[in-house]
Amino acid sequence: MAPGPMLEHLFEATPGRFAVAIFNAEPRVNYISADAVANAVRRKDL
Amino acid sequence: MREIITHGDGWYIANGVTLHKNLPVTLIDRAAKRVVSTNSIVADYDHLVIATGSRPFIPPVPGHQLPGVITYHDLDDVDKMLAVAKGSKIVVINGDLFGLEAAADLKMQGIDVTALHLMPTLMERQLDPAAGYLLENAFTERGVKVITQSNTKQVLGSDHIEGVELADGTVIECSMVVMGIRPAMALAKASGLAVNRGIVVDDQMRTDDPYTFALGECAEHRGTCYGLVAPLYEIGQVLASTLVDEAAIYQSSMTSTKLKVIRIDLFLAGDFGEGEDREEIVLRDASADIYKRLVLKDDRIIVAALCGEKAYGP
Repeated sequence: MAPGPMLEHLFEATPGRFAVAIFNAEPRVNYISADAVANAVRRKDL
Repeated sequence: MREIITHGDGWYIANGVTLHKNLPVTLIDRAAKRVVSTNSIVADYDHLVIATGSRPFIPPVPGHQLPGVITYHDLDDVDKMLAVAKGSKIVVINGDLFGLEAAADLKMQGIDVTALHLMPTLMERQLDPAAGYLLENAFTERGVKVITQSNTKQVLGSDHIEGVELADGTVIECSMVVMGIRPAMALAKASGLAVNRGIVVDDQMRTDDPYTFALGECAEHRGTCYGLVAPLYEIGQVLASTLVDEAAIYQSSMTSTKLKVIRIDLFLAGDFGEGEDREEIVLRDASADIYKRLVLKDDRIIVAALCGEKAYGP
C-alpha cells in the first residue's frame, strides 16, 4: 500500500515519536506496486 | 500481476501501528481533526495522510455489470485475469499508460488482446499524434490489436460476456473486459479538500489543509496523477521528512516512467501539464521508429518523452 515506504522512513527517522493508526477499507493492507518495490530494491543496491 | 505482497501484519505490530482492516473511513472532520469509520470508530489526529488509492472506473454502458467485466485494480482482479486460459480473448478499454501495461501483460500471458482507446491516438496527454501512432504500431506489430476513436456502446452477452460493441457497430468477440481506474477522492472531496483529477497536493504532499496530506494513486502533484507508477519511495521520504519538520521537496522533474513490456521502449519524465511559456523540441525518425520530445521552460528541460530510444534514458 502507498503509505508503506513513508512509514518505513518515519519509523527509521523517529522511532516511537508518532502513534500511527491505519484505517483500510480492504482486508489487505500489505501490497504495493511492483514499481515501488523496484525503486526500493534499486535504492538498496546503491 | 504487478502487485507484490510486502509488509505483513507483524511489521505493523512491531512498529506499534493500530491497524483497522475492512474498516473504511466515512467522515473526515477537519475542524475537530478526527476521522470516523463505518462502525463508528473514531480516531483523533494531529496529521492525516490520505492514501485512498484508486477505484474502478466502469462506464455505465449496457452490460457493464456482467461477470467478467473487471478492472486492473487489485489482487482479486489479477487472480481473475491469471485464471483466463491462454488463447482467450480480452478487450482492454482505455489506452492510457495503465491500460497499455495491462494489455501488454495480458499479451505476454498468451491472451488475444484488443485495446480500445476513445481518443485518436494513444497516450495523447504525453505524446503528440506522430508518437502516438508510433506506439500504436509497436503494439500492433507485437500482436496487441489497437482500435483508437473507439466509443464503447455496450458489453454483449446475457449471463456471460460474448463481446463488446462499439458505437460504429463494430463487434469484438471476447470473454473478459478490463476497464480502467480513477483516483479515489470522494472522501477528500466530501471533506472540502481541493481536488482536480486527484487530490491536489504541493511539493510536500500537503493538501490545501495544512494538517492533511495525500499520496499514491489518489494524489495529483503538479498536474499529474501518477497512478500505479507513483514513485512511492521518494514521495514517502519527502512526506516523512515533512512530518518531522525537516525541509524536503518532491520535484516531479526526475520522475520517469518506463514502459518496457513486449520490448517497446518508452521513457517519460517530467511535468506533462500545460503551459504557454514552454518550448518544444521534437525529433522524429520514422524509418528507425524513434521519437524524442523535449520541453523546455526558462532554458531548462522539464519534460522528456522518448519512444523507441534506448540510449538516452536513465
